[in-house]
Amino acid sequence: MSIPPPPRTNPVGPPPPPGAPSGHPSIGPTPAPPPGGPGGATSLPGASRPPGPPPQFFVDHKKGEVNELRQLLRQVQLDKDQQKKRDAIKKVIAYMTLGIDVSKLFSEMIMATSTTDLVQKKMIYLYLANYAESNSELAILAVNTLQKDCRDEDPTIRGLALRSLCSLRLTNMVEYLEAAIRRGLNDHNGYVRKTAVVGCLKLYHISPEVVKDSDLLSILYKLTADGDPQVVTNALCALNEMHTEEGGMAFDRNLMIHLLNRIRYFSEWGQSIILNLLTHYPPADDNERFDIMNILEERLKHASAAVVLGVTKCFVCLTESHPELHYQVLLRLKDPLLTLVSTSCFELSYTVLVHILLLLSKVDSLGVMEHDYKHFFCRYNEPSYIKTVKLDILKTLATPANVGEILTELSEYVSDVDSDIAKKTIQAVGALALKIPEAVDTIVEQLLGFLSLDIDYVSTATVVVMKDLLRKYQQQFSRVVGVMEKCLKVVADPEGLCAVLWMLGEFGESIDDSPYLLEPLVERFGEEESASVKTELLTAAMKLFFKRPPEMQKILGSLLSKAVQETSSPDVHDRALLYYRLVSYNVLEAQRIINCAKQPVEGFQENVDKDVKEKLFGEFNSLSVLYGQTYHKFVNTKNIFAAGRYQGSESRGASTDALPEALDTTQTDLNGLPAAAAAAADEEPNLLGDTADQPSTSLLMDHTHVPLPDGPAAALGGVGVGVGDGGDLLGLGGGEGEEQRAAPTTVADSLLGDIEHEATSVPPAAASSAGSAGSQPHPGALDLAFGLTTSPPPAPSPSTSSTTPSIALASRPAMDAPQFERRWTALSVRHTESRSAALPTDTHSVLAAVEQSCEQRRIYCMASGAAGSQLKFFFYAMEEGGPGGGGVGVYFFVECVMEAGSGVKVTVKSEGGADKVALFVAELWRALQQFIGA
Amino acid sequence: MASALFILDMKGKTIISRNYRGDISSMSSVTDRFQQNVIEQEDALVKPIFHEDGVTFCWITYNNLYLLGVTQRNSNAMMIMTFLYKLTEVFRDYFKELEEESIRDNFVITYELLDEMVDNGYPQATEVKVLREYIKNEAHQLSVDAIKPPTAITNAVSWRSEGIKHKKNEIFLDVVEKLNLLVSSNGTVLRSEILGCLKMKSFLSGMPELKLGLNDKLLFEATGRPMARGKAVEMEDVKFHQCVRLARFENDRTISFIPPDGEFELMSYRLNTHVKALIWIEAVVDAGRSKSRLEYMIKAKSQFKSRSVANNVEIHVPVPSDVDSPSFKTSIGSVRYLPQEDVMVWSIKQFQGQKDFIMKANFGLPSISADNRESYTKRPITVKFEIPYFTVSGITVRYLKIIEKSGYQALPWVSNGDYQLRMS
Repeated sequence: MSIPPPPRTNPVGPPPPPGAPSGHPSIGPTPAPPPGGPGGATSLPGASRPPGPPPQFFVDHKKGEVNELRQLLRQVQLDKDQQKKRDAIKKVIAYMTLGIDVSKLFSEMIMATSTTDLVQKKMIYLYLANYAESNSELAILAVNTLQKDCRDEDPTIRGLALRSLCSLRLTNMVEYLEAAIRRGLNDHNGYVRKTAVVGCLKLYHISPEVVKDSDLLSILYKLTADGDPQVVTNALCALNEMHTEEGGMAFDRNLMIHLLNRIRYFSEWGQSIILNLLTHYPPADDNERFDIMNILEERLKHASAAVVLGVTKCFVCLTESHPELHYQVLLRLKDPLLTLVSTSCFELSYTVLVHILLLLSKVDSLGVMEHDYKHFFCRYNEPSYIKTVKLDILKTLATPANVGEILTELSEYVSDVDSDIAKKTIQAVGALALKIPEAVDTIVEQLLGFLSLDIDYVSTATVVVMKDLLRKYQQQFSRVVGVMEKCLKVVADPEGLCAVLWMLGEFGESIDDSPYLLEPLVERFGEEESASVKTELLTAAMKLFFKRPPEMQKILGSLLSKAVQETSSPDVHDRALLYYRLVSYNVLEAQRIINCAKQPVEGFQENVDKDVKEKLFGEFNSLSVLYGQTYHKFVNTKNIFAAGRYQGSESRGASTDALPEALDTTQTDLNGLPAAAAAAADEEPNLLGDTADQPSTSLLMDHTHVPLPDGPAAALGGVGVGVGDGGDLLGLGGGEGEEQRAAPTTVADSLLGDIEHEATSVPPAAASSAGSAGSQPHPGALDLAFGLTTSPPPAPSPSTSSTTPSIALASRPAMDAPQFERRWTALSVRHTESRSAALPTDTHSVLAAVEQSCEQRRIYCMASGAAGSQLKFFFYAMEEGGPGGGGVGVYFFVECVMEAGSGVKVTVKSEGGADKVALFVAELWRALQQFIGA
Repeated sequence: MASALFILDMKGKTIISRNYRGDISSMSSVTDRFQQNVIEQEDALVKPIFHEDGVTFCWITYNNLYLLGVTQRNSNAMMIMTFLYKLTEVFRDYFKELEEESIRDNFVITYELLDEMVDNGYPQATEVKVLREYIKNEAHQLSVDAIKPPTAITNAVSWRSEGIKHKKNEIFLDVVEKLNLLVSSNGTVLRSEILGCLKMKSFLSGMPELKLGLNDKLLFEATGRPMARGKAVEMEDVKFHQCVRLARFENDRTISFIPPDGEFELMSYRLNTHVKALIWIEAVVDAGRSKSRLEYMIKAKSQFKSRSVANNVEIHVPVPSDVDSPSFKTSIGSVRYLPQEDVMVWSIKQFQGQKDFIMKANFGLPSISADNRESYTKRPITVKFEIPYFTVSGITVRYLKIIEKSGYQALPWVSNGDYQLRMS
């Protein structure tokens, strides 16, 4: 039969199809019989219909249509014509596809399962699989037919029935399932066997114990040697997934050899799956290593990109510990990979490019593609995501030898219609300058050229890059001097403006009219919206003040008074006050702090992420590489929990497995901190003046203030004192030092006089906090002075243990994961509370320790896991029921999240009364006591 | 691999979806997020693979459809992507054209295909010939006793079922080469590479054994046979259809295989040689002093042998978005202005070797300039054409032996894919 085209409009939309069949029963929206009455059903039982136009699917529906469909189904049951039956069932499926709930037809559809027509069977099974979960009682009825079909003589039907049976996902049918699967595993037909293998995996997800406690696992292992590649592939997938918690299935030598010898008989999917699993096998010695690679080499000629990347993964893993060999292997892989880049569709090409970028991240691998950089030149019609990766690769591949050509190419992209790519290109040019000192002259030339294009986003990006460049190559400034005025005019956004201001402040002595460039900005201070521009302007004006005091005096004075009055941004306000007090305390000291000479920056922190890259090699050919993060960062443990993986006692092993990884990352984070602190300490006097230079790292910097010795802290203490006895202000520093230095100080005196009353009329809160800052020990004081008030640690709640009555909890109450999950979602939150955490730095053992400590108090862990630096637990407990312990008491459910930085947060759900919840919460905190900070 | 597959329309609404593993709790939230991250997202930020809240989205577009696979695990990204493309191939084979309408028309078969090709998220049989054994679509009116137990799915030769019969035994072989050329604005060739493939259409009965001989340089070297100078070609990276016995090729460079029935790509290769553009374009654009008119002078020059002819030459030249009143002058072919793409297309049916032609175009410009007027100079000129009986790489088919009686025709032709010349 032919299916007429559906209406062009949205299928759910209102317009009725033209020529809706008038003689055809029910479906058309036109003269429908009275909805659903039983009279309608009896009126046309099995009567031959007038030959009307073929039935319409995806048409409009009204209420009552489902009922009409029900009648239709009942009618056609009696009909001999298979085609009519097919059409009726097809209509049901069409409704289902449109998202209309046809689950009410379940019993009619089950009645239809007895058909011998394969086409009908398939559609009915599809329907069953879709609605079984919402109709689990009725689904039992279908099990009979499905079981019968599992014994059909036609293997297609056997397979089909088995697949559908396993897809019903009904927990109450496990016993039927297992029997059918066992039979399927021994079937002589490969199609049925492979369906049974997948069925095993589905069974595992419904009830892991049934699979683990039986011989099904060993049967699956046997099937990895099956004659049918499809069976083998699925057996491998199933086993690997069942062993996810142990990091995948184990691979012995025999299995490895068996698979390698037969790999060419597998489909491309089979091959990629095998190749990914082969990395689980550690070669015994170098000979074996070479043998494996020799056998796999021919796979590189396979047309499928998935297979080629699979081989790449194997090669990379096999040679990881042999740098020399690794290099040779990469040489061999180069051509196939480059071919994939240029022949594939954009999406595949992108995936390959990202993997190439990772491969090149090892410094000694660069030589492999050094001469192939032209492959990564962008084409006009490529989407931005490809251009972005290509830019990164070009950046990586640049050497003194080829940098010239790469730069010429990059300058073409600057005028790309896509402004985002233009910006990234300019950043890439800047990165090249930092990477290859030889090219700096050319690059500065080029950057100046970009400015002359007069495109606002290009100019902005160029100025930002120029600023970074000058932090490393200060001597280059002489070439940029001339364009500063222009820069100020062309830049469009705050980021660019900040960069120009920084340069003006830093190199103001070499720019003739630098004060007068700042002046208009100061005049328009009130109109400026960006707080970062304002703070940067303050810093620049301060620096310039020390360099060109006579010219800057007035400007700075008016700027400071404007900024102190500023109320919308506490940052700007506080910065202005800080400068003001610093200058009034001691001008020389202020100069030393604000306007010191800077060390050239050798490398930028952003470019150092070797650790992650190293880990990504272990997760080659997976999503991790695409995202540039290890899988913990994007695979949600909670979701896995929902999928039934982290369950009961098994979860312990899994979560502790995952922990070391997570800990590693936190450790790197922590390691990063001292390093940055050390770096900051090197430049200590510079610290205050420089925070605005690096907005991205400023947060880090704020943390690093705390452990620092005197420098800025002392200065701040001074500030407090200064405000405290304001009368001293004017007398400070006057007439001291050499003449050159004296100039700014005297100037400072007079200008301070101008704004002195401003400072003392500071909002009282700020003044008093700053005042108290002087006398208190410095961590808190620093926070206050910077306006960065982190909320003080909550006062420890009084311990309730001795006075209040405690709750009696039952030992090992009955609870399983599905039940937990159901009740957790059903119940509402009764109590949430956060306390600060005191987690030991060695958190290896925390997971287990928390669980143990809770268990001692009869609060049991359902699941736990680590995601990043976060530890997450699900607990449950039950009140001891009745005096005899016979009754069922109230259950408590807890979600507990611990993070070293942010504390311990518990969420409690229960159906019990408020008093019981309170008692339980107290008990819970006692259990967690040792992990909570004071 | 993938937890669920979606076929979506251009608005991101689900046409058909299959939730294979049941771990995607809300199918509708998946499409909502897809719409936010792809359809409503700025072009520059769209990525073919992204994740949100622990769910990874991998998607491709085909005609007016999105094909989307989602997963919650750290899956093999490449496999999902290649699978999505495989899906388009299979649908195309079944529905002739893959688009919204053909999916809606064939929703039952689409379900069946989705069910046979993936089970519990893992790819299963994806060969069309094999799938046909399982999916009896409506076009085949089948009676119940016509179902035979299928064999191919479990066969060693998984891409071909046994007992195929054709009235006429025929096989066609095409060599299609695409030349990727990147020419800088000053006329130097930045990069040139040839991407070639051998396409076959096989209509042979039984289980034929085929052997293909090419003028492969390494083959000549391996066999020690003398070769005429310049006749052999060195292919840099060769990839084969899964039917080719790779071990055999590795050993003695023979390409031997049992072909699947119907159309398939036997092999592809890449050559990184320095080739000159077969049709060279020079463009001179003159805006004049008044800025009210724009004059183009386009010169096309064929740089291949004079006895060859390039067919269906199309030269796309970008123009500003706000031009009007076009007028063209040319001695050969015809010129059209396509305002929706902001290009003019100079089409020449037949372009003989060693010739050059000139086309002049004249446009009016409004006095108020559009914002992005100058951006047209950044778009490259593109040239498309094909030359029959000619390959850029010089690769030729020496023989195709078929063991099982039949005749074959081989027709090599070159499609000079797409190359881009930068204008300024």
